[in-house]
Amino acid sequence: MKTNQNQPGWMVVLSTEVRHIWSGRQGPLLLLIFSLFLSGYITLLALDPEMNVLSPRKMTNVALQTTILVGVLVALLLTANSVSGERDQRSLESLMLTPLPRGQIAIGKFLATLSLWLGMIPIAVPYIFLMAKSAGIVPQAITLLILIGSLLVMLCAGIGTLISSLAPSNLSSFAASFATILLLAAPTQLPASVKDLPAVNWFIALNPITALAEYQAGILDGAPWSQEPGLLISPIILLILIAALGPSFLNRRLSLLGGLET
Amino acid sequence: MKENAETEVVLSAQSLHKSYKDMDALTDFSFEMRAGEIVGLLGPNGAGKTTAMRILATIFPPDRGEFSVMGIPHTRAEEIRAVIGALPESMGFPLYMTGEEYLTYMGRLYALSSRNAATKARDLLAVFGLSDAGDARIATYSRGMRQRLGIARTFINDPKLLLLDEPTLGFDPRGQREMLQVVRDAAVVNHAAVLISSHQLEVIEEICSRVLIMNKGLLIAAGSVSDVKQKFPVAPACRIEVSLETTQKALDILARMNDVKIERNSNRVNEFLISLSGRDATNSVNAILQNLTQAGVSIESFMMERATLSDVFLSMIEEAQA
Repeated sequence: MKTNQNQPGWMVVLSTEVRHIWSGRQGPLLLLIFSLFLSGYITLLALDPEMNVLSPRKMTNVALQTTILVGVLVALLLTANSVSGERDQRSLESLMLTPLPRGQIAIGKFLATLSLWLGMIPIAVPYIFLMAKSAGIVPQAITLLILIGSLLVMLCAGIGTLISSLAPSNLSSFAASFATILLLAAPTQLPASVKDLPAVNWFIALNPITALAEYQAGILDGAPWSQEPGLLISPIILLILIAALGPSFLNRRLSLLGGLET
Repeated sequence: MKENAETEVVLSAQSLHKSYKDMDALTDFSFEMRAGEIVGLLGPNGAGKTTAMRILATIFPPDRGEFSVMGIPHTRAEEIRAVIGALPESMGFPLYMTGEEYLTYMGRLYALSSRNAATKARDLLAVFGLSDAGDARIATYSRGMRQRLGIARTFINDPKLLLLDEPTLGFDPRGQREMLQVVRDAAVVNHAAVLISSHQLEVIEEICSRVLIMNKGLLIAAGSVSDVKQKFPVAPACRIEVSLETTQKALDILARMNDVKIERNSNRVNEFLISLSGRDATNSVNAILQNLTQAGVSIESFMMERATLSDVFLSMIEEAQA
């Protein structure tokens, strides 16, 4: 029997998962919800008299932040279910019985989740375009949507996949994933006076979500792309760490029952 | 050549040990399996059968001890998984897939090309009587159909070792017979070694050349079915049916005899199963027949009962627990 040694196992998982997301109801439904949310949210934002006191640049930032956060949460919804969902369905064991290194199961599922973000970008572009047009910052806003959004979605989906791979149940995976992301995202809502404190400043730079939010706000405020490159360090390092160490960690630690015991 | 293939050691396990927190699930578990052999793994719930199966399938690593499959040490788990097929107990499936999609997916994870995986999937669906349901979603399958699909999955890579945990669950008698035939074929035609865990002891007795009996994580007996029966003899028994009119008289006589234990059939009041716990079963039987006929009891049928693997198993577990 001919074998297909050239195609890594994670690609087989990826193609199967992508087909599942897009040929079933899951992907199209999530995109529809995302699209409905954005149209409602952007309309409200544009019409809200309280928001009208904000400059068009700040309004664009609020719209972009929310758009990316929703994209992150949707991606997290899928990744949190990715491995622990198989565990709950008792179908993980049949995947673990194949010769595939276990980290590759998680990689395939993680990458499949990103396909949803690729579907969200074209939906979000017209809305961000509308918001950014009056401020004359369309190229910056669209570039940030693609770059910062993709970076954040990859980071959070990576964290979600790790949590899902270790969580003993789907419920605990959802709870831990959303709690982690909301805790990391919460400081973006801190008032400006608090953000100026040195300790908080450090925390913002170390926390990948707040660092990216600060970077994005700076660019939309007119700062050059080279402003505070330090803000990009923590998200990029964390992403590299997840990409470099995650698969080998999961090769050893992805277990039938979850947790760190094998 | 064929002889060599059949005597080749497929699985060798030495002193495997696994514990969960403070509980020993498997202790000092050692055995060997050769190509073409079908071995039954028996034991009550919690005996350690599933733990043993999962360690051998490389789902869990052992805490201590080692094993190899086709000479591949257990530390090279991915290579072992490439040559084994395992059916976990109560296995789940991606319910959104069709049976054919599922088997094709599994085949591709075993590094088959898309075309070969699809061909293999269709072949297996045919062997396991699922051709008509190949295009239907697994969500619509009955329990028996899912079990067939799970067993079909274990054959996707032409395994040299099959580990089947409760493979007959959910089958009607005909399906059970067909499945056992497929397992036999795998052992004989493909020279695969097959380890079957089952609570259906008649299945084990019918198909297995050897049995391993476990209790509380320990291997308490191993050998051919007849060896195990000889090593752990259970009290012989006979079945007697008397006429309805003389039933009470027969009961009174049997109750007075030593070394005789009577079990009554709730549906047939005049039929008794008599366990003979004395040293000499022949003498006991003669004494029973003599006493009954002398007292004028009309015996309508008499039959010696052969001890089944189930009897041996139950007595062994009782002894181990005592």
